[in-house]
Amino acid sequence: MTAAAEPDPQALLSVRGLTVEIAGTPVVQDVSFDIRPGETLGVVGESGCGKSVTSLGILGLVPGQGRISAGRVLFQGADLAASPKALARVRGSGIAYVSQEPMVALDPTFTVGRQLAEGVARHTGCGRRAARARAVELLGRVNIPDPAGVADRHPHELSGGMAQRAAIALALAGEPRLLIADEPTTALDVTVQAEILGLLRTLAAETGLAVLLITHDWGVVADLCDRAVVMYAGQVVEQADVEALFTHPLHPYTAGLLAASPHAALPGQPLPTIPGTVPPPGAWPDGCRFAARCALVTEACAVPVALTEPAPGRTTRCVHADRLVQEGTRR
Amino acid sequence: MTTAPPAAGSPPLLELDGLTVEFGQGRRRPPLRAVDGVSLSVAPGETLGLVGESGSGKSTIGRAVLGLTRVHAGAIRFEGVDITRATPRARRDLSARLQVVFQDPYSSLNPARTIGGTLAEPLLVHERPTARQAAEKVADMLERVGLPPETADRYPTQFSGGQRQRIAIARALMPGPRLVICDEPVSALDLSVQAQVMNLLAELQEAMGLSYLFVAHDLPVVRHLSHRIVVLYRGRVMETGPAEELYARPVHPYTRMLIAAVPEPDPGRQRSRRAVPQGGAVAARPPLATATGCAFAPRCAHALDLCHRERPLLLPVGAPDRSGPAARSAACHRAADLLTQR
Repeated sequence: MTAAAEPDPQALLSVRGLTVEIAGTPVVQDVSFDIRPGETLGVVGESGCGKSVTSLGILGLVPGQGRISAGRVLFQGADLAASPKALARVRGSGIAYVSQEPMVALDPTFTVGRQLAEGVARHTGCGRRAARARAVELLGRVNIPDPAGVADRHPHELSGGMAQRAAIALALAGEPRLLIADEPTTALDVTVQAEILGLLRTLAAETGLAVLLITHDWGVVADLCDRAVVMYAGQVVEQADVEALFTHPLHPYTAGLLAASPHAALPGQPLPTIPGTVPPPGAWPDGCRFAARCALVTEACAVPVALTEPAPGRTTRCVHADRLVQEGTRR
Repeated sequence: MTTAPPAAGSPPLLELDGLTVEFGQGRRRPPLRAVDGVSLSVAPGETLGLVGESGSGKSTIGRAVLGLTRVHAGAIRFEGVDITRATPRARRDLSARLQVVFQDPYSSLNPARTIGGTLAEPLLVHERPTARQAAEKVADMLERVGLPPETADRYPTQFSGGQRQRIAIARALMPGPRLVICDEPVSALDLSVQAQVMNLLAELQEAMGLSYLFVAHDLPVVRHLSHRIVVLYRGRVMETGPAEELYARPVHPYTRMLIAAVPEPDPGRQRSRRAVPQGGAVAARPPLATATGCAFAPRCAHALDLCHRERPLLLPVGAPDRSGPAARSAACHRAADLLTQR
């Protein structure tokens, strides 16, 4: 599956060659991936790699002076990047969005139930009473105890985990086929995170909801995702099924980021690190963007590197991919 | 990174005895007890990790030690001296030996001042060096934390989060402290940078014989850097013990729940961990801890009537083994049952 490949006919969403510029500087370049119905795709990387801008680009919500300068976003056959009309039709009812900060999604001046009912009425055109009933049902759907009671509360009366659940309920109001969740559990305690991840897993399994999950936490990827896309400096550098990605990463950045996780740390040993930091947009080198931080760097890395498919269903952007394939599994 | 643990039996550098901190909630509601009778100690060269969910009081303990929060009851002793209600003058002297690194390296550095100016300030208070001496010390410290000497002439905006956290660490270490309170020092950093800063903290501890009171919510991070861990829930100590042991064989149901909730970066193992049902889901609004009973009882899968009636004491668990007496303790009525029942 390279950038040039035709969109997967079974895919719900196919992003092809997406390039986003903010104030003339590219921040996301030539990003392509597919999500099938019911699938959970993780987008992983550090800050400044373009994860969030990619997700906002899909929804046509690129911040500030940003714009999509190239590429297609195909959702159920329509190109959202080319047609604002198609995008307006899809937003909320086809694709919904949940951010890291639930309080931003909720209006502090209205009760949770009223906001939800508004969303329901907007998408289904039903009456007030039916919308209210559906709102309470949605709150129950996201495992909120006492949904009718919570519906009468204002957002400030909810805990962080509860508010995030309410934000997910709001996202589900239009019965979307795809949920884009940008770091949905980063601000939450681990016990609450486990519950939210469980909720997303149940929704995907029971309703066929596809989830695009943006995260920097490998544990969350391992817990929830079927496949993952690793981004670095605005590009996709690797894409694979999670099992394969964790056991046998085929890009040095993926391997380095996995090793840097304190989970696998050996007591008394320093953590493996990646020296340096992610180069900011505008300071990207012509060749491999990870070369300056990479242990495998050679002269061959100085020219632009294309995505290759070293194994079926996997892509990587590394000239040393063949060597990494042969070297066997991690740990 | 837990290197050789400090010698047992050396007098503690920091000692908290029944520390209690309350915050007023207005006239109609009773004060919120954020820290409720916490006793702990940090030995020279030791890292003590404080973990717990938000609202557990872990940051408040750090702030109380620094004198940033009023203490309601209990005592804080540093180097054997009671500093619970230290005067501003005493605090100023203390700041040479007791320092802090905060979570957010964006708000903790003065944007209008060069890095060199920021780093030299603690010296001006304590040692009054000449400009040349101060510049030398600043350059030395920058090298120690892995930054080039030119850093001194630049401003905070010119640095990334990881570099700023290195600068914040350098500032804390300038007066040569013995104890550094680290309040979520790597939580705002990306994974690869987080690993760099964690290694730096461990190296500096080794080289300078520092003690850390390490406050964080990320259990794997705390486990890696701490010698011992204190698990807090609603301002009370639930369990303490050597880091690896506590993580490998948690006794208290709350510790077990916390560890089980952290997803492991291994899809296969995470799937099998998830298959084990976890008791103790969060209640809609967990009732506030009462004066009687265990604070965790409303969320606990193992709670008995006794747990709701009587507050459990923090008592040693298991046989007093090689790591000395009372290496591990838990505040749980069912600790003995749970120790055998895995």
